[in-house]
Amino acid sequence: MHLSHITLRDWKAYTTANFDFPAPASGRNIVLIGAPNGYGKTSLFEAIVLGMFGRDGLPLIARSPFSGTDKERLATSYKNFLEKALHGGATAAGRTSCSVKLIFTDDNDEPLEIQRIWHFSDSGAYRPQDEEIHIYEGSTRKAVGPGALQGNDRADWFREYIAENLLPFTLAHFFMFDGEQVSVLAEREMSAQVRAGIEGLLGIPVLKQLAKDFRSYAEVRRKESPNVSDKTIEKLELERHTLTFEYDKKSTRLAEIEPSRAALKEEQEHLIRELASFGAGSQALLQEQFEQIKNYERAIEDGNAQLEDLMMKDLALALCGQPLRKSVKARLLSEGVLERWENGKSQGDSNLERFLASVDAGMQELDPALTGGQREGVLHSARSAWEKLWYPPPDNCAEVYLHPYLNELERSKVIDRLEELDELGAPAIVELLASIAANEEALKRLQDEVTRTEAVAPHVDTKRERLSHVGSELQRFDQEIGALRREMASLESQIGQKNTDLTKLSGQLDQAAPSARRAARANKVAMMVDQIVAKAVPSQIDAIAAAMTTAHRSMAHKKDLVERIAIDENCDVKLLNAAGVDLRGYDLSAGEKQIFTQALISAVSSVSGRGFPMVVDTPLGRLDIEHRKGVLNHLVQREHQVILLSTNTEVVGEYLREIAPHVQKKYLVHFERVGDIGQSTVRPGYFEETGGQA
Amino acid sequence: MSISLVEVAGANFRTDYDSDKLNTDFMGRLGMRKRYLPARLARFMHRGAPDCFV
Repeated sequence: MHLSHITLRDWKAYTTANFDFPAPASGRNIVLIGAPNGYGKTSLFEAIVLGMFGRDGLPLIARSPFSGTDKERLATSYKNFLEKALHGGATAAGRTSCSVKLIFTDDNDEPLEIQRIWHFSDSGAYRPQDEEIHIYEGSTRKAVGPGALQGNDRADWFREYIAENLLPFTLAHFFMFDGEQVSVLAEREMSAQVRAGIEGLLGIPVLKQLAKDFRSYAEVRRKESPNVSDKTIEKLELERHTLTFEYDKKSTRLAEIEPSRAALKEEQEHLIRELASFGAGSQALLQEQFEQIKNYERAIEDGNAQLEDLMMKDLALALCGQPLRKSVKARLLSEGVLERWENGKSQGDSNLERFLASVDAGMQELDPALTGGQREGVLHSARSAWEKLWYPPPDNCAEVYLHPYLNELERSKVIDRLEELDELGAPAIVELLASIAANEEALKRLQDEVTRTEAVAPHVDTKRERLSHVGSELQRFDQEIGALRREMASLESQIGQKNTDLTKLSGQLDQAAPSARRAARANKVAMMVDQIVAKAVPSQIDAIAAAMTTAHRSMAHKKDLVERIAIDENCDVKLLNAAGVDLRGYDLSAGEKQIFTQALISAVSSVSGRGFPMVVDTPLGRLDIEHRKGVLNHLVQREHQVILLSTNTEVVGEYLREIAPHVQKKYLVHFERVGDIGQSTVRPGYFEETGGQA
Repeated sequence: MSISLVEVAGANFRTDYDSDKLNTDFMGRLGMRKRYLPARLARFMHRGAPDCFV
């Protein structure tokens, strides 16, 4: 497919302009349109873009003060742009519209004509409602159109028709672009560029817009039914879902445990019957016997403790024999006598000197007075008499202390204890031993009895235990089953209530606003679209990477070194040299970045498989000299038509000579000023031929 | 070689294998739990009836 004809009317500086381009053939695919800056070169580019895509084409136009994809903003800009697009002299001459007509010719030589007419008020204000678009198919110029569709539906129909038969606008900026814009684009992150490229290739902006539209549709629809929103219904449904889930869970659990409970019940009955056949008392009897065994064991233990106590104290002393005990007793008594005797004597001694002094004083008062010798004699005699009073010591007095560590009180305690031992006879010990022996006997008997009982009723204990275990298990099950049944009943009534509510609300909703349900569906579809978008991009990565590598090689300068462009599934880009080193680690020049972007553009247009013409405004833009020939050579390799809009400093001189063999047709835009109105006209030819030189 | 108090206490009235066995048997027979009890009884008995130990 190629662009074979363009007609502009009252478009910018052109009152009328006609371009005819031949079909590309055997290596000749270039159309050169030359115009110095300000002559209307870019106006032609804008005419092609807006002629094809109308409002959708605005983002492609570098000059429009376009920012973001905000629809309202876009509309304002579109309006502003168009109001400046109407030829300066048109209104004055009574013409209140401008138009662009594009004729494409496909490979079967069948033409497809698109004409857009924009209308303005007398004061030059754009009238969006009046915008016309006409499409004629084939050599018979059969008109095609959306029939009775109006408004947005009408616009959608045309958008779809153009996307199908010519080019979707999401791909447009890979076919129609301004070289200067490329340099702007080139400054963006490479992965973002690649992502945008692939998204454009797949028409993902359309999908994204679709999702957004779905969402705003849903919002609008929901607003129409403020009382009963689908959110209420969704919430109710969710609640019902949760309740049902709970109910199912409980019913599953019930189904699980009911058989277990039945089995346990059966086992319980069986055990009860079995145990009854052993006699009702066997378990109780055993229990009693075990208690008794414990008692005996305790008694034996106590007896042994008493015996040990005896052996430690009394028995040891008793064993040493009565004679020894008697002699110890006597000895202690004699030591007691010694102590008392000594005490008395020493007490007397302390008074003796006072007594003697008193006697001496008495003697001096005697008349006639005694002589000193007489007195001495008396005192000596008295002293001797006192001494004699204490001697000899008492009969049973010990001579020395064998037990000096004992005082009077302790001695008497020891003597008492020894006397008690005399009382301790064999009978007490025998009695103790007998009681221990009796207990041991009884214990043995009881143990035999227990063994016998157990032999008579084998495993009765185990069975009793099992029975009590089964009993407690059953109780647990019964509790759980009871709880489950209660909860299920409550859930059932809740679910019933929700169903009633839902039916009621749905009825209201259906009456009040059927669109609320549509809103929910629209949201769902929007979600699905999001998922598709997420999955779609990676599918084209390999093809893009391969095409980019080819394009990059043909355009890049030898010293750029990039051997291969690799893109991973996150759209992260690697520029690999022959050694496999990622050159992005080094700073890329502006030219290198631009080549990358050119390669991406070229890759997307070639992967898209569309044979659409390429329209490039200022193709060499800010490209550095090293890369200019590369880009031009790459463009001429393209099979399809390439329309280059060049200034008088771009595709001229050696660059023109480089592509000259591939150029099919050249036009040059002329410009003259009539009053304050510029007037562009177009004629075949080019700068060099008319003398225009850089 | 000197013997410390710790070693004496740790010995817990043990002497040699035969004596220990006799001691243990005696304790077992009379339900004793203190290892020194047989020795104590023996000492007292020796005081009372030295002849039976000859």
